[in-house]
Amino acid sequence: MSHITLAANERAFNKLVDRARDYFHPSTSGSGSFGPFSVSYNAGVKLGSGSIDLQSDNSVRIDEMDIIYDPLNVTFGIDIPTITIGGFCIIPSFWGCILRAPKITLFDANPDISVPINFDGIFQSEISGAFRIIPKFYNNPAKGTLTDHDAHDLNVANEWQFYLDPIWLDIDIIDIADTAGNLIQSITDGIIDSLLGWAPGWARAIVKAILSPVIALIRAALDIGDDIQEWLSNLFGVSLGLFDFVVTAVADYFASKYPIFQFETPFKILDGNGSLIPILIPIGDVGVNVTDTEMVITSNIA
Amino acid sequence: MFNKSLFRTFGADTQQINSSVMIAHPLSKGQFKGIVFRNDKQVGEFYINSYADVTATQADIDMASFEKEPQDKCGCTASSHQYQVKPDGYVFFFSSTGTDGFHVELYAEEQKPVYNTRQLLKGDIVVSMLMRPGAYEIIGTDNKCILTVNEPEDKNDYQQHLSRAVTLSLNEKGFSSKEVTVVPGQGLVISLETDSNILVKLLKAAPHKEQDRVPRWTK
Repeated sequence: MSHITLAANERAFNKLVDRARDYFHPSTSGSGSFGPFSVSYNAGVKLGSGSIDLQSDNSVRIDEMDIIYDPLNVTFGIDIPTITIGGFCIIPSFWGCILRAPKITLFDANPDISVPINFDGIFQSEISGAFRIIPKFYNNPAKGTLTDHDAHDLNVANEWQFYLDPIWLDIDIIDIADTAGNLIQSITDGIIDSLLGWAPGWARAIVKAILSPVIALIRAALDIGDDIQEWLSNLFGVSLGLFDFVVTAVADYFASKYPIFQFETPFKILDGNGSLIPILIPIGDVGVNVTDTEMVITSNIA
Repeated sequence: MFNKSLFRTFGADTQQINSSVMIAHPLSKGQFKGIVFRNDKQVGEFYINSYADVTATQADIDMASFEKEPQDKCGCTASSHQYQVKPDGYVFFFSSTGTDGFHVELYAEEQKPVYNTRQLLKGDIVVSMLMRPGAYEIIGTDNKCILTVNEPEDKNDYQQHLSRAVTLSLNEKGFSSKEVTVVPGQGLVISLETDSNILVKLLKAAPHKEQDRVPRWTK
């Protein structure tokens, strides 16, 4: 039985992965809750540069590949509870209150306050992971009952495709822009300004004082503290599940959506010439072996 | 959203019930029909019964709830507003939201007028909650009292202030105190020991305290 062996060194392999990476641009939207906040977002994700290394254990290692969020828009909404004044007892008795002042609505719960924040470029994160290269036979549905030569001429032949099947993936937040601190603080200020935009100067301090339990609730819910990285990580990672989306999208994309390399089967080994048709040979028993210097694809002529 | 009328009403007048002033009236035994007016135009009706079997010591009648309802000619709306209170219990007239200019007339059987919130009686209780800091004059029949609405120095105590009212009474000789002080939004309870309407008039608004400004740039 004859064999065919293809090899790509690490530089060539990098170009294969780069090409696949450039087509990666999923988007998502969703919402979640963050204490008394509702948070909705829409995000697009791209992959930037990172190191791609072939490993001697038959795997591929991607390290510190930039995740570019474009766009990353988050809208914070808060359900301010109804706030009243009054309700105090006017005529107390041993058995309770005989006469109590009715409550006057100071702030009605609806509609809710929303503050849109653009997080584009606010923080950088990276994805790293290890992959195995797996071959998959692609039975092209467009080929149908066409002969192999007709399918080849029409570019609808069956293929062997090679995917990066993830072993593990992880995301790290590596940098938070200096402006993040001010920006997150502006969420609180934005909410307060939304509430009090109409108020004359003398009223603001009073309303803020009456609203102080709610404002305390907002500040406690944000709970930014000194560690903005942890806060953002919690917001996007836990509350919004954005990092899970990125990991799943990356894993799904490389494992089944976009092959890093593919070739037709039957494989053309000689072009047609005049009345001579191309010579196609069927390829089977495809395997992949990775060393720290190259990726080697082996196959048999079936 | 916000009940902005609280911040745009600089005083109180028992002849015009709004979010800043409410009236409690002790009700004797009987069946009564109430007519709610806003700016002298009838906007609703209600029925209130006071008899011995009732345990409720007060009935709260929110004027704003009448304003929100579509008017009808069949009396269906009025029939949905029925209240009960024990004899000598109180009926509380107030407006929970921004609408103002209300007054109420109560009628006993056979359309006999028995009470009008524009002519308060001995035993009535007036509650006022003012927002704007400043000096006010409380005017009863031939009597006056100074009310100061002061922003509290310590905002941490604010909620405690709001939870308890400052009390005052008015009889033929005058108010029980010549001066009272409240924080914005705190209740001022005036017990009427004589027939008298109450007018709370702004004399001088307190100047707005500018917060200490820290310039971003100085020469």
